[in-house]
Amino acid sequence: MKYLLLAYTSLAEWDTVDVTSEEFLASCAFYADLIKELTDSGELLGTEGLGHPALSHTVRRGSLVSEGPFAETGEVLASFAVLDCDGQDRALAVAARIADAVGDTVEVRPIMHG
Amino acid sequence: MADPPVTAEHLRDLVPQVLGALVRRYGHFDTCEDAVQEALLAAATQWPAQGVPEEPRTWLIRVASRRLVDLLRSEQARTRREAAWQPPVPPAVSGWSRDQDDSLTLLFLCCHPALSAPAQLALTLRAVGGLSTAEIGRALLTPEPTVAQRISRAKAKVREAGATFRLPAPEEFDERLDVVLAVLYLIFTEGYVGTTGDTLDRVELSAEAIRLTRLLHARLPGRGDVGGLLALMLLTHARRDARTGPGGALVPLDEQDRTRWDRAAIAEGVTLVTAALRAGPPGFYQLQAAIAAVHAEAPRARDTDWPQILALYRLLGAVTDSPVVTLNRAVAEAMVHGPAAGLAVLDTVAGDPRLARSHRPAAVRAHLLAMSGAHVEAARWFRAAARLTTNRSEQRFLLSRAVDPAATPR
Repeated sequence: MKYLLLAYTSLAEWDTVDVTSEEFLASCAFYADLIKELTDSGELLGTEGLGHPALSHTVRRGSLVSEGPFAETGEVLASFAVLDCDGQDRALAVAARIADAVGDTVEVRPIMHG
Repeated sequence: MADPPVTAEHLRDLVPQVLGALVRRYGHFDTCEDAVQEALLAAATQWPAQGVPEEPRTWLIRVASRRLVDLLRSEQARTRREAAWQPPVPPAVSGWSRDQDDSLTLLFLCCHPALSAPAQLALTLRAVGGLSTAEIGRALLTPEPTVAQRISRAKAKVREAGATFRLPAPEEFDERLDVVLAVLYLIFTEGYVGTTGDTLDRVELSAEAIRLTRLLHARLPGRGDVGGLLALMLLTHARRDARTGPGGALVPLDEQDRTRWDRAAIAEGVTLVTAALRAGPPGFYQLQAAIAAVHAEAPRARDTDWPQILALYRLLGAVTDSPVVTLNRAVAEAMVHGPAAGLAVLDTVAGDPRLARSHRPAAVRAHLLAMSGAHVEAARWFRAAARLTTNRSEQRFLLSRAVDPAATPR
């Protein structure tokens, strides 16, 4: 089963993050270890960190392009991962580890097949 | 005795024999497996140009052995630099036993209980099926590096588990065979996932599962469960051309054009399941195959012998506690005794936690409500079921029923 993990973070925190802090470096190390672990287990199909939502453009029918993300909220999409794993329990367990280690809120969505 | 002539399609039949011969002689299952893949690659590039060798199996064993010795030497050179030195394995290319067939042992090794299901599946497709990592990736709709990682990790796990190259002991044979059957059935059902879109250049997993199950059945002809599984696959696969309509839309069993069913596959499946049912007390696969056979033997949907199917589902319920079997029995009950009887059976499993995330209880309820003429309620349940499935064609089917619940035949 394939799942999309969407990690949301607070825009205020994104804009004030101290990239030299121990907390930030620990998050980076956590992600590096997790990516290695999930690559080794053959479960990770892909993952990327995203640019700042200020760089987003949203396109609507009729070539209406507006600057900024689809929804203006305090919580913004920061990264995503696609997993192919045994089932929902496993996907939720990985999401829980991300949420606990990084503080992001992680949405887990099944990916359609067939 | 000379090997029979080999075409490109039959090349993969030799893979488990070649790999088995190597592992029996040298051990090092993981390295042997790499060496056989390289020999296959060599065959694929050399044979079309130079012709198929007279004894393809011997040719493959010879080339794979040479490659294996190279691989082991370079591994040992690295180990020597790091730790204790071991003498390289001497190359040996003569004296292979021609009658020794290790395909079965190999299948058990690939379906080792220490491995996860996806790992068992990928390793079996490669080491027994002879598929390349790229082919497996395309078949499973999984990126090639992911498959490669799964296979190399699976091989490492088999090594760590200290698995030896021999058949399981008699006291654990049945349990280990159950795992092998489950892996083969999983390969078969994977073949029905992701069949939309461009299927060109993709190995057909269902056909591959049938090929591997034939291999197993040829070696264990007296086992009712193996014969039952092969029958189940053949009887299910016989309907493949009729089960999708234009644009990949799902066509349910009772609406399929039965002239498009594969009669030869059905005849073979019926013969196999008949023999399997005589082999001993029927288990999961024999009973599922028997149900598929009853469907296959009905010239029209309305000719289906539902009382027979209901009896088989009751037997099936006695050998497994799967709530999915109860859902299917609910439909059979409705066909024999009316929708109210079916809904009563459905109510006994609707709250089963194993079905909490499944769309099936809602789909069955919708179907039974439509049968009873409660179309508004049925439409609501068809929509509820459609929300819960992650299969695109199934979702489209359920949504089309939500628009027109009366389309459900009564």
